This record gives sequence, structure tokens and C-alpha cells, in this order.
Amino acid sequence: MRKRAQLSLITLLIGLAMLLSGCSLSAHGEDQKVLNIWTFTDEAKDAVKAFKKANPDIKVNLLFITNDNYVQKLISVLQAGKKVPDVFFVENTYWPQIKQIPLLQNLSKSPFNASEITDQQFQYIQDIEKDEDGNIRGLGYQGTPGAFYYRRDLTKKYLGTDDPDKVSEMISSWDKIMEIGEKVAKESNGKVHALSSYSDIDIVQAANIKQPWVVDGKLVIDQARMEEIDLTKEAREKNVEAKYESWGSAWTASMQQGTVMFYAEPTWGLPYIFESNAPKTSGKWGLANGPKAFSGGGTFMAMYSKSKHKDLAWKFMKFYTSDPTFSKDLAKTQQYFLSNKKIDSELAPELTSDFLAGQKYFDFFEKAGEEVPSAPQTKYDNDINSIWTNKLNEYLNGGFKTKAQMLKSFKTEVGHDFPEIDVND
Amino acid sequence: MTQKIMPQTTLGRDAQPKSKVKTSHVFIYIFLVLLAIICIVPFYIMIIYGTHTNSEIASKFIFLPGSALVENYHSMMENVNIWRGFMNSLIISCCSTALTLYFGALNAYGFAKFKFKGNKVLFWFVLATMMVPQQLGLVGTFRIMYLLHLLDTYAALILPAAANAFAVFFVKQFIDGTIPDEIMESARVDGAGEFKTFNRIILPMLVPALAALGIFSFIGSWNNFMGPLVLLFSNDKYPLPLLVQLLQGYYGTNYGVQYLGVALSVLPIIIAFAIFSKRIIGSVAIGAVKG
Amino acid sequence: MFSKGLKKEHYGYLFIAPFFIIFIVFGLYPIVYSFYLSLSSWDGFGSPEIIGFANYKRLIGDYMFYKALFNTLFIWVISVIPQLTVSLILAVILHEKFIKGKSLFRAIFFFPNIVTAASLGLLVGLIFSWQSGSFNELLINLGIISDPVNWPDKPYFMRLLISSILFWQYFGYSMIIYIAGLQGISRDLLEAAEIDGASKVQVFFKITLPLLKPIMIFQVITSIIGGMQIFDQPYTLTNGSGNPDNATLTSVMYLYKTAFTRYQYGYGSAIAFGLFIIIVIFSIISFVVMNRKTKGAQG
Repeated sequence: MRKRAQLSLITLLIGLAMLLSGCSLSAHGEDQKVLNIWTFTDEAKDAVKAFKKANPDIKVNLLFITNDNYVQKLISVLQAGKKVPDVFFVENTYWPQIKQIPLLQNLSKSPFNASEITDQQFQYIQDIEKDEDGNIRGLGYQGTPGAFYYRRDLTKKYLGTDDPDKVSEMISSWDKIMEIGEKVAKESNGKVHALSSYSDIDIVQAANIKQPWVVDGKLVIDQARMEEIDLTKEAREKNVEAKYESWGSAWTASMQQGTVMFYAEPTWGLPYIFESNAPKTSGKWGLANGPKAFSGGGTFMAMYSKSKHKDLAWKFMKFYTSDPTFSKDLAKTQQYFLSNKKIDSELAPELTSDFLAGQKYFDFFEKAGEEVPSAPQTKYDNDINSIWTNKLNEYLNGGFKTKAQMLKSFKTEVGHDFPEIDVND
Repeated sequence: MTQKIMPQTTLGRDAQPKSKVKTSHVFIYIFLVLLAIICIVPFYIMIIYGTHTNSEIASKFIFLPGSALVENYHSMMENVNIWRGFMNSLIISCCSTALTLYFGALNAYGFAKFKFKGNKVLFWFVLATMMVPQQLGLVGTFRIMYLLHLLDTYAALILPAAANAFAVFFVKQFIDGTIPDEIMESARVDGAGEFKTFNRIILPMLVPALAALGIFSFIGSWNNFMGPLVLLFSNDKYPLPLLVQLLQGYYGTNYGVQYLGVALSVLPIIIAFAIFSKRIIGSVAIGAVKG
Repeated sequence: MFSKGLKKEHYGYLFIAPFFIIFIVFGLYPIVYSFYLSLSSWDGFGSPEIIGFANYKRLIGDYMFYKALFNTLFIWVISVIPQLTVSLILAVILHEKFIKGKSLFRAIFFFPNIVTAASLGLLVGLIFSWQSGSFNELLINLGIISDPVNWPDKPYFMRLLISSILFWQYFGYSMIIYIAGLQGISRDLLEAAEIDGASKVQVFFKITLPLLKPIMIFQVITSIIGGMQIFDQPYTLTNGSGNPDNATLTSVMYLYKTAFTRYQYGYGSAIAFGLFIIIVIFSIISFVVMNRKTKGAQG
């Protein structure tokens, strides 16, 4: 009897722990019409709200994980095959790696026929959405062509104009930017710089590669990347860039202070970077085209191929990427540039931004979007990119004496992390 | 004990030349105070910086409180609910500590007072497991939690606490040192069952050791970062260490908010410690002597 | 009944059973499974493919593993030496009777130990960040430097910084344990020695220190086991990167990165076992060395 009392105490303790977990287990019951969505960006909240309004019979569980752990979590549930959401958002950085996982629904197939939606999108986005075999694995709702955001007061002072076309002409090559940078740094006694950081060069060059990192199991360093090394070094040595860390607080503070003339950022930089970090500088900004067209970031929605609610999942994805009312509303109220160029071009003549001193920014980005090249991708991109920027950063900071040393160290590390990649020339 | 001796020695000290004593004492106090400052300054910085805006932090050195506390708090709560994290941490830490203590004591008692076959070998085995890095089984832990349907539950972090080798070692040392076999014998003569003896008689005697151990394992569990990082998915189940890391958001870094988040994650501990510090340190010391 | 048939000593099995059941499920199974994985190649999708000892072969020739090991040892040694000495000095001082506010000092020194290591890493990262860290701003304000120094880009500085965090976090803990050990030493013995004319320093080296040997062994071994597993502080300090140039990549960070961000579970498990073997070797060496010293001192 006593032993039994003892046992029951143990069971009670374990049961208590189970109970704590139990509530969460039962919460994910197999109800009808429940759509589970995972996202890393709060943008999805508005979309879900609008979607619920349009479809009151569908219950949506939105799980919002805000940082880098997101992808890791996503991959672990996909591997475990448990608790996988029906729809999940993936940031552009991780997309090449995720889209080759065989658990993503092929959206090219019927009944989805996603090409009906993607046909209206910019070409470079269409290419990103497809896997190696040309099947659509995800849908992007966001158009992400880039621009050189510039401070009108600074260009007026140092370049004599703040007209977007004239400024674009003045920065149509890296050489011209270097010249401007030297001049500006000199005239301002080193207070003002042309570029905020070497990332402004990186984002442009990386978008203009012709060859992916890995071709037939061999590591390839594209010409655009080789140029990047020299350009960033030149910019660093000639004081053209301000040496800020991208996303660091000194970088964001510089937008407010007006110590940098150009920032190379994509569409969404307007609300998320400039307006949010430098709200008091409204009307001081403009958009210009830099040396080359580029894009940055972007979010893709994918569907779990074993989802029990593919119909609902598709309904949501379709809604987010092509519902005209919702899309227009999103574009207007949140300054959200869309992947759907048809809708973008409809809005282009009317949408202006006070922050950009009345510039027609949809018009600007719509034209820019057509020029964005399709950069080839591999599943290694994110990992190799981060090794690359680490080494580049070190090289710029003097950690490597020569370019050759930097390249050698880069190759060694890629070969080390991915033994299956041949890194020898 | 110590208090009784104290007057004697103070007397003895006074007999020495006064000036000499004083200079060396001054140095010792300076040393102690300096160290104490080093211990406190980071917390001061953290709290002060939590009251400033991002651009203030980026532009100058700050040593006085600012006015952005409310603003920072709101933007922090928009992203992460720190109090929810606090609750999560509390639930996980309390349950794990309870399991560690009870099963650790049960097991230690089994090893200490019953000379069954294989006792020594098994005990050494338990000790050897202390050397195994927690991360060694990380992949396997994920797997077993998946098999048992415990992924993304508190239980995944709580249940393993029942098998804490350090607790066994710690309590066994204490039992060996303080609990004579006669106590069990007399309980047996009185006709008490073995488990009743343990629960009613032995367990209360272990309180000093368990208190010390409880503090260790509570702190350990409270600060556990890797376990939840791998085993939990939902933000609303995240304990504090993970939530604080979440403040490094996707779109840029707001330093003021981050400082505030770190400060708030530490504050409950600071308060608890301020109240119980004497007890906590006393317990740690008790534990250490026996261990 | 069952209990009557059971010999008294056999109750021991019942007492240890719950622990072992939990341990087998949550402790042993994962380790065995990891060992199985270490003999395979697996990215988490599909089923693991057995490849024998190839992962271990790769480990033996893996410069990054040695680098991570070096980083870990470097960080540990730099933190543990001051930790164990400063804490001993403090313990002796705070064991003295003339010091006022003893318990306050003890509390303040112990305090860093209870703070979440992950938060600490973040905090220190913020303080020492390049362009907006308060440390740089302090130096600029004091006129020591004119441009912010890129601290996070300096390998040795970052390692030292992690060592400092560890020292800062653990010296109070070590101190409390020493104090406990000191309380176990009879005061009469020490006072008798002092009355015999021994100086404080002599008493410390001839009597206190040898008597503290077991406590020191305990501290060294537990700090080896903990020190080889440093993860939280460097992980949050460098946001998981191990920058600059992998100088702050500790062994466990390397294991974590391999298994959980590169999804090379097989190789990650092999790293874990490699690390385990090294911990065991270090623990045994330090145990033997310190034991021998004790014997030498006594003989």
C-alpha cells in the first residue's frame, strides 16, 4: 500500500510535468478549416487580418518567430515531419536552401497552376521562385528592386543638383562614385561620405553575378565578386564609404544626421529603414539609379507538401500575391511595392512619397524592376555568402595583407565546411 | 561558533600596532570595493542605457538616466512579451528543480544506504555521466523528444531534470556525512516501510543539502539557453534567455530596447537575490563543504 | 506479499530505478543515438546512411576542430587561473574577522554568477560594439582615442573578453566554495600556529593551502568540465558567428554550427564524441597531477 502511495506520488510529479506540456499538445487538434502559418515578419499580420475578413469561416494560426532561429526551427520541424505549418514564409537569404527541400509543394502543378500568378511578376522574381527543374516552389508577394537612396540636401550641396535623373547620371559607374566620394570626403573634412558601408557595393555586385557559387561540384568565384574585392578596397582606402556596420546603430543614426550621401537599398528600405530610423528627415530623400540594377531581400511563401489543408493554404497564398483589392490596399497604405508588376504599373502614376519629396516611387521601382538581372542561386548561397562577407570584411580591416591571402582563406573555409565542394582551381 | 570566537580575536588584533593594521586594511578595503564596483557597473550601464533612445546611445557616452524608458518598454512589448517569458522560465525552473531534488535524493539514498549488488559500479557510472557534455546528445535529445511527442513542450525541458547526476553525487556525500544507519534501523524497528522512512524521516533531514542543491539547479535551469533553443518552437513558450535574444530583431537593432530587455530579464533575479542573498550563499557554502 | 519477499538491501534498486529509467530515456538514448549518427552521413531528411568511421577520420584532420579547441582552452585557461587565485585570496580575506560588511561583499561578488549567461553575452556585446558601444564612447570622452576602435574585429581581444566574462561570472562562486572549505578548517589549528609565531603568509601556505587541496581539485575538475563546454557567452556575444576569423568559435559552438546550422548531423555527432574524449582525458590528467602534488606536499 505504501509503495503504491509512493508510486502515485511519482506519477503525480510526472503527470504534473506532462500536464504542463499537455495543454499545448491538445491545442493543435485536427479541426476543420484551420490554417497554420509560420512567419518571421510582422507584415504577415495585416495580410492574415485581411484574409480572415474575406474568409470568416477559416481560422488562421499565425506563429511569429522574429529572428534568425526561425529558419532553424522551420528546418527541424520539416525534418521531424511534425508540427509543420501549412504555409511558411522564407526570407530570400534562406530561400535557395529551403526551396530544394523535397517537402515543398510543387506549385506549378494543377490544381494550383501558380504560373498564372507568377506570369504577372517581374522576371527575376519568377526565376527565384523556381527550383533547379523549373518548378515553382514558392510565391513572392514583394517586389524588391533596389535604388540608391540619396540625401537631397547633400547632393545639392556637393553635386549641385537633387534631380533624380541628373543624380542617376552622376553615379552611373563605380568610378564616378569613387570620384564623388573622394571629393565629398575632402570638402567636408571627412565628415560626409558617399556610401554608408562596403555593403552598398556588395549588394549591387552580388546581384549581378553570372555564375553561381558552385558549378558541377566546383567552387566558382564570379567576375562580379572579384571586382567587388577591388571596389570595396578602393572605397575603403579612398574614404568613399563611412565604414558603418550595416544595421548597426551608428549606421541608422547616420540617416538622421546626414553624414552619408547614398545608401544602396531595395524598395522596402523606404518604410523599414529610412522612415523608421530617420522620421525627422522627411522630404530630404530621393531615389536614383546606381551603376547597375539590383535587388535585395524579399519573402517567399511555400506550402508543405503533406499539408492536410492545401486548399486553404493555396487560398491564402493566392490572396496574398494576387488579390487586387488587398494588393492595392497594401501598396497604398504601407508603401508596399509588389511582386505583381501589373498592379504596380496601375499604381505607378498615382503613388508619390512625401518622404521622397514627392517622387513617384512606384514608377521608379517598376522601371528598375524590369532591369534587375536574374542571379543564379545554389543551396549553399547563404553559408558561402556569409563566409565571403566575413573574409571580405577582414580583408578591408587589414586582417589579410593581400587579396590572394583572402581568397585562399575563403576557399579553404568553404572546402572545410563543405567537403563535397571542390575548391581547387 | 564563529560568533563566540570573534571577540577574542578582535582583542588579539588590537594588541598589534594600530597604524600597521590600518594601512594594510585600507588596501584590502580598496581592493574589495574595486571588485565590487566591477561587479555592479555592467548592471548600472544596462539599466541606465535601457532608458535612452537608440540615437542617444549611438551618439554619446551616457551615465545618467534618460527619458525613453516608457517608449523602449512599449516597443519591446510589441515584439516580445517579457513577462510571459518570465512565467515560462518560472514554470520550467520550478518543475525541473522539484524533480531534480526529489529523484536526486531518492537515488542518492538508495546508493548510500542499501548495499545491493552492483551498487559501486552503478554509482561510478552515474558519476561518469557528469563528464558527458550536455551537447553530446543534443541531436539524440531532439530525436527522443520527437518520438515521445514532447517537442515544443515544457516537459521536454523539465523531465530530463529527474536524472541529474550531480544531484545524486551531492546528496550522497551529504547522507554519508550526516545520516547514521541507526536512524533507519530504528525506523524499521518501528515498522515503517522503506519509502515512508525516506519521505517522512530522511527527506526532512536532507533539507540543508537540498536547499543548496535547489539553488544550483534552479539557477542552472533558469539560465539554460541551449535546451530551449533546440527543443522549443513557439515564442510564447520561450523562457527569458531566448526572449532576450529575440530582441535582436530582423529589421535593425534598437540598442535601448535591447538594454532594457536584458535589464528586465535580470531584474527579478536581482530582487530575489537581494532578499535571499544570505540564505543563498549560506546554502551554497553548506553544499560545498559536504560536496 | 511482495515487500516481504524482498530483501531489505534490494529496496535500493527501487530507490534508484526512477532515476535510471529517466536517465536511460533522456540521457543514454540520445548519446547512443548520437554515436550511431556519428558513424553516418545525414542531413535530417530521409534516413541516415552508414559510412563507418569516415567522420572521425575527417575530425582528426580537421583544422577547424583544433582551432575551436585551442580557442576553448585559451579562453578557459585565461579565465580559470585568475578565477581560482583571486577567489582564494578573497576567500581568505573575507574569512578574516576584522573585515566589516563581509556578507555584503560576499553577496556582491557572488551576484554575477546568478545572471543568465546568454544575457551577459548580449550585454557585453552591446558595450563593446564598434560604432555605438559605450566602452568606445567612454574612451572617446576621456580623450584616450579619437576614433572608435573596432574591438569585435580583434581576435585576442575578443577571446580575452570572453575570458573576462567567465572570470567575472565565476570568481564569486569559487570564492564561496573556498570559504566553505575554510570554515571546515579548525580555527584552533590556525590560531595555534599563529601563537607559535608563524606569520599569516606562512600559515596560509603551510596549513591552509594543503588542507584546501580536495576543494581545489573539485574546483579544477568541475571547471574543466564546464570550461570545455563554453557556449552561451561566445554565442550571444558574437551572435552565433564566432567572429572574427573564428577566433571565438568554441568547441561546442563548432559542434552546434555543424549539426544545427549546416545540418551535418553525422559530423556534428563525431565532434561531440571527440570533445567528450578530450574532456575525460583532461579531467584524468588534472586529477592525477593534483593528487600527486598533494602527496608530495604531505610527504
